[in-house]
Amino acid sequence: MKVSVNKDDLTFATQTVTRILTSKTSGASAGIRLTAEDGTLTLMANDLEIAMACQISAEVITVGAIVIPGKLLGEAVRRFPGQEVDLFVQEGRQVLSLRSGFSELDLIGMAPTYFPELPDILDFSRLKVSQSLLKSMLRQVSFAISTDDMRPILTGMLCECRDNSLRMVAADGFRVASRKEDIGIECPDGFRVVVPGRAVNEMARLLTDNEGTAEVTVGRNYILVKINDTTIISKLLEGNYINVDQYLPTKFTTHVEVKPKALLDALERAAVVAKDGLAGTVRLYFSDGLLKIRAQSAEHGTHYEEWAVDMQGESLEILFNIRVLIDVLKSVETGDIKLSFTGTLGPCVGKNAAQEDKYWSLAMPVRLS
Amino acid sequence: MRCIIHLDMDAFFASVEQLDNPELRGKPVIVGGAPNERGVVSTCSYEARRFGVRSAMPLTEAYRRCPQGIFVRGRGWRYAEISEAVLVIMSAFSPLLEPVSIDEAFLDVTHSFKLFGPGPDIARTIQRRVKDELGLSCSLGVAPNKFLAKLASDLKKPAGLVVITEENAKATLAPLPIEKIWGVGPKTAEQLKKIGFATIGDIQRADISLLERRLGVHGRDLWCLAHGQDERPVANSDEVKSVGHEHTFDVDIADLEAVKSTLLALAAKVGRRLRRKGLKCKVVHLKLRYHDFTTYTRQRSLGQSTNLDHEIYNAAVELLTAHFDGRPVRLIGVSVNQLSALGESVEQLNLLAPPPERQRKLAKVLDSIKEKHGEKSITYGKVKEYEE
Repeated sequence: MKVSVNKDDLTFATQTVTRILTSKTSGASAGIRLTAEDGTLTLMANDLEIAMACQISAEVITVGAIVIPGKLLGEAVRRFPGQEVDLFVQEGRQVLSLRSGFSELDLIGMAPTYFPELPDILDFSRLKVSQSLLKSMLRQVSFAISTDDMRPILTGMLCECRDNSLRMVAADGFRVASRKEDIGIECPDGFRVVVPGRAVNEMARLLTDNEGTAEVTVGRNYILVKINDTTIISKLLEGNYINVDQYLPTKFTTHVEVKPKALLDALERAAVVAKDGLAGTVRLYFSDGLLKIRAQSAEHGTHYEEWAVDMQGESLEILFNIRVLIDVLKSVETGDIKLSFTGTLGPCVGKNAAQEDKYWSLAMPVRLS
Repeated sequence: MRCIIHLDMDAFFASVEQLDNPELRGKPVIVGGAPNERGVVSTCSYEARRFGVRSAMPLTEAYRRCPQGIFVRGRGWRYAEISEAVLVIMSAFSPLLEPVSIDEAFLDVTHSFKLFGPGPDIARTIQRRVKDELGLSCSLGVAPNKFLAKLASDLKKPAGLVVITEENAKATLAPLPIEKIWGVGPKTAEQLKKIGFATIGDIQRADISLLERRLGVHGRDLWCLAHGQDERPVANSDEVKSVGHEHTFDVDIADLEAVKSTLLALAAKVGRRLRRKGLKCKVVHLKLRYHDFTTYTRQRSLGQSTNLDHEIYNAAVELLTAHFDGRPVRLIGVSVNQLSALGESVEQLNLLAPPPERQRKLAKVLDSIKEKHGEKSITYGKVKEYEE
């Protein structure tokens, strides 16, 4: 193998695919495979749950492939002095020579023979979605993905495609978020799958706000998402996702409309004294068009403020974990948020006038025990 | 100058039995077990002491000396409960509280004078409150250090209150036998007697270098204690960090269901202890030892702190089923840590998992039955099924 690539391209590709390598992966799958062919160099990492491949343009003199321990390559490439990097593997040897400017580095690698191949994706549906739309959907939903493996299915995000709408849902029980969008094209078969949180986070990182599109392919056991020159392939979570709509309350006691930014700032001020953990609790009191916010901790002090809000219904006192409420408020993209409460110990539903029924989120309060 | 209070409950276990069962009052009560058992006396009432019955005496010997004695088996949980109540009373006067055992504790009140008056007054108040609120008698010692305080509480039992000051310390100590010094057991006592020391006063008059030659470093400590000097701080480091129970099977068993039933019994014990102490746990550990003594410990974190039997059990069972490989099991154990007190925790409500109100109610009922009829009075069917 003998190729020449741009250093920044190589750095980006290496950093992107290295991220999925964890300390748990070992053997051949703990490495990155470099494959040179057809004017491209492809870097791929694959830990069997999730695989990531990144293609960069290259001047290929001789085709070939090699596997290099993941972290090594990243550290090496970043520090090269020149703008171009030459990569060379001598026929029959498993050593990658990197040359850039006056610097030369030989890394011991492995034959690509044992590197896990990508799975075949069977029974797939494929759709193209605008990147900025996908990014916005993930931003509004992914925060509610559970990290507790007590209920594994909730550590993923539900992706449902029916008729010509795409819906995403995440719920860890403390927070729930749902976003639906018309994607304009008919998806013939539709699908309902659960994508692991890890893959969702990688996608969110790669998506940009520009005009490009992302290609989503959903198979029986895998999802493949192609964003620019990077491809993520992830196993899907097995099991039935809950029907969150059945938990969505329909009767409310109190409605409040606020600017998310104003409430967010107030909560961040409260968080100064009420740090995370046991003390990370904020008390909200809505009464006669007034919102009073109070937080305290024995260690750091007290916070109090009050301001006028647009409210309807009964007065209400409710306690939240500050972070839970902040997450929900942050997921509102534009305009005011309408918070609807069901009582001191019941869910609070957040909606956004600009998004009508396309989006809602839900936060559960805390109680003193 | 420090001011330390030492509290020692009088004939603790026996007094609790007499408190709970008025028929036992004024009678020789011997706690430890039936007279024909192999155990020893753990405590006996003052009435029994008149017959020559003492703690740590074999039960058979106690029966020989006092055949009319009323022999009862101990109720550990009840004693623990009262012990806690005593500690709560003491902690009202100072945060520097060091429980030594179930029936004694040190309290450093050096900085409590402004709020509660001088040490002896505090001691008197504690003694009165223990009597009024719990119906039990205790003896207290008030002194400038732990050694003297402990010694003082022992001087006028029962219901005594003895104050030792820096001025009268040496004189109070002088006539006492050397065994009263902390750390002087039968062996050291014998050594000291050989060289002519019988009372603490003898040691006070001795040359420190002689003691050091005879007893090494220990000699210096002895000399200091004999002069009423003791610098050890009252340390309340006994905060509970974990709660656990384990069980060794009589015969190694490979039946997973049977192991699970034992696990449930253990988890229930752990849950019960957490609830008694007003605690919740965040992490559950499982200990699994196979017949060949290979031992595994695994842990998992709970989404939410708990003290409910089944939440602890479910986490433990999950760990068990993930790691059990079919080999016969010799020992199984459950322990929990990352404990937090009930009052200081907030519960994040979960839309998908409503609060386990039914389980909470069940725990409450089980606890109250156990309070009334004893720890073994009620258990889960699954535990009973495999008990034989």
